[in-house]
Amino acid sequence: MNKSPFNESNFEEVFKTYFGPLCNYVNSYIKDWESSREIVQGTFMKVWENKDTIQINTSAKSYLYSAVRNRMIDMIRSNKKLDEYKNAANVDEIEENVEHMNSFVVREEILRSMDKLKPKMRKIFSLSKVEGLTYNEIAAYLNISKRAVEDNVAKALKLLKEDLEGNELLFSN
Amino acid sequence: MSKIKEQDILKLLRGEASAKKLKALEEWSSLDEDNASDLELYQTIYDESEHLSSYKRTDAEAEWNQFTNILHNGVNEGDLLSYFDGLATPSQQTKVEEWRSFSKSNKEEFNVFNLIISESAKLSEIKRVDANAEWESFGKMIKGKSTPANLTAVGTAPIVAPIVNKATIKTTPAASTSVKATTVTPPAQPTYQAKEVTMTPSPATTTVAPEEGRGNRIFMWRSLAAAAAFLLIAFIGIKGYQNDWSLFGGGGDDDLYATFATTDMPDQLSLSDGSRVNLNSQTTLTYFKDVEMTDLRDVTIDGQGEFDIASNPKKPFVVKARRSGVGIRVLGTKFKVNGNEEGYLEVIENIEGSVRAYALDDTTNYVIMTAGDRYGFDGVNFVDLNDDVQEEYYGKDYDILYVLDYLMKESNWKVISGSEIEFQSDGIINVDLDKPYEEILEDLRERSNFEYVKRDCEGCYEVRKFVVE
Repeated sequence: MNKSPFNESNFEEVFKTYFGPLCNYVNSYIKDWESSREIVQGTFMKVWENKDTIQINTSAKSYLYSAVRNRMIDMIRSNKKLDEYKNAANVDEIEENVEHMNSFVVREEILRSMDKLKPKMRKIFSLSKVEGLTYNEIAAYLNISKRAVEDNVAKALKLLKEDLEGNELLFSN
Repeated sequence: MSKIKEQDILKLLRGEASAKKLKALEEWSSLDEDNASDLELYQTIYDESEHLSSYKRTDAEAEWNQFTNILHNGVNEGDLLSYFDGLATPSQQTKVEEWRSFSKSNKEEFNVFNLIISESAKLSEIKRVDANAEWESFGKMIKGKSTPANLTAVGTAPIVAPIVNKATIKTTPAASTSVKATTVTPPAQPTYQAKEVTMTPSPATTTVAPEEGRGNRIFMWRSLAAAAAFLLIAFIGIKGYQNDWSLFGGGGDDDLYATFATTDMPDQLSLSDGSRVNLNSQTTLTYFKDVEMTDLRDVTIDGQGEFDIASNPKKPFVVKARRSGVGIRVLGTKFKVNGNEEGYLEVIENIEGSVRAYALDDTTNYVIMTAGDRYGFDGVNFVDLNDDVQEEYYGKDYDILYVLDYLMKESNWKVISGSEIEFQSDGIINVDLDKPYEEILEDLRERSNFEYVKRDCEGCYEVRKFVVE
């Protein structure tokens, strides 16, 4: 018999690991942050209530995403007539895009790794890879050499890689 | 048995021990295994020490780096960065591709780099969540919650109809606004006995079981309220059109914007787009009345405020602090604007996300602030108020005398110290000595007061100045 992946001792960790990625995942479709939070909170509430009786043969992550996704689709369907989620994506689009949700876990983990970088290095990496500024723009903006920018980005990349390569959340389903 | 001293052992090792001492040492070493192994160790140290003068030490870390460099086919992070940036030279490209296909682990490593680069480009869309605060909020929600009317999932639906109605959630303080994070453990297993259910994630087309009781009533009320709101808007719209009310075009800013001013007490304001503003006392905020009626979510502040902006990539949020002529443009983030009482310095503290702060009279004069940044604007320039952070590019500090010595040896004395070199004897420099010496020279010139001139031979230089400060 399959076991529940949720219990009282791991619930906090599961919640804190997936709450942010799930909210961002939902928000990417419904474009309403507060409603996204409600959907994710509601899902966790339901899981909490049934944590001892849930029987699945997938991981907690897969289960949560499926549950949140279905809940989001249901909410969109039931509320669209009231114009509640007028900016929401088409349900068909959500249904077709199953792999999309894992990206948000990856992004959360990258952000957590970036938190560990030295402030200046984090800033330079962020300006380059997140904000999309060129090395010359960053060099001019921070009044440092282009070479220093490149070195920082390369070093940040190395540190992020070292921090993330053992992270199972990146590649697990 | 007489006590054995180090001097006795030394005499034994030198072959100078007396017969009496020799006997005593034999007895001592045969007493227990520890003594015997100690004696053996002494012997080893004594014997091997003689050969140390001809033993060449290696820098294990440097050797390891070199070894991994071989494994990496000479590919370093710089090559990979150039590759992913699309700036790699043909030889770099070939090198990276050969390295990637060399082994499974290289391929995995390449994929991690690729993932970081590709996903980082999308991080600006991400809103960060304070997981601790959300957990605290969640703990409050489930505390004392009674048994839901219907716990049994219908069919194979994993998560059924809403279990917490929207009104309840709306009254829960948004956890993302809480800066202080505390951990609250949810209460123990609820006392009710849930029915055994099998919850397998199902296709999204699953029919949702309608929720009974309060949820449905609220849903009905919400439907009615929404319908009433729709009728009201429609009515106003028709009347507005008939009477040319300025709300629907043709009106001035007064119809689109409202003003809110605090007196002696701070106050809060929620805007129509879901953004929240905490205003300090003696602060005036002019803000858009209806987010749907403006192309831009723009507000003007005179005083101090903390903004928590609802994300909306299609409508940037702009805060204009007219007192000092600075604007802040964001898509969704959290930051503070603190107008100095003297009236000329506006301090911007960015708490979350990224913002672009710019001069209102010259939008090309701007700074991009990431989380934790603090900048001032003095009416002309942006002033970096962040704590000075040592630029950490290479990770190793060296005495500059050592660096100079290293350069000379590493270059086979092609680099020499000028006879009248200006030199700071107590200087420390942070530099990467793993690079070729000519690159180190270039780095030093960028990172310190370092001057050198080329000499007549190929790759020959004379260092004229090496001062850190």
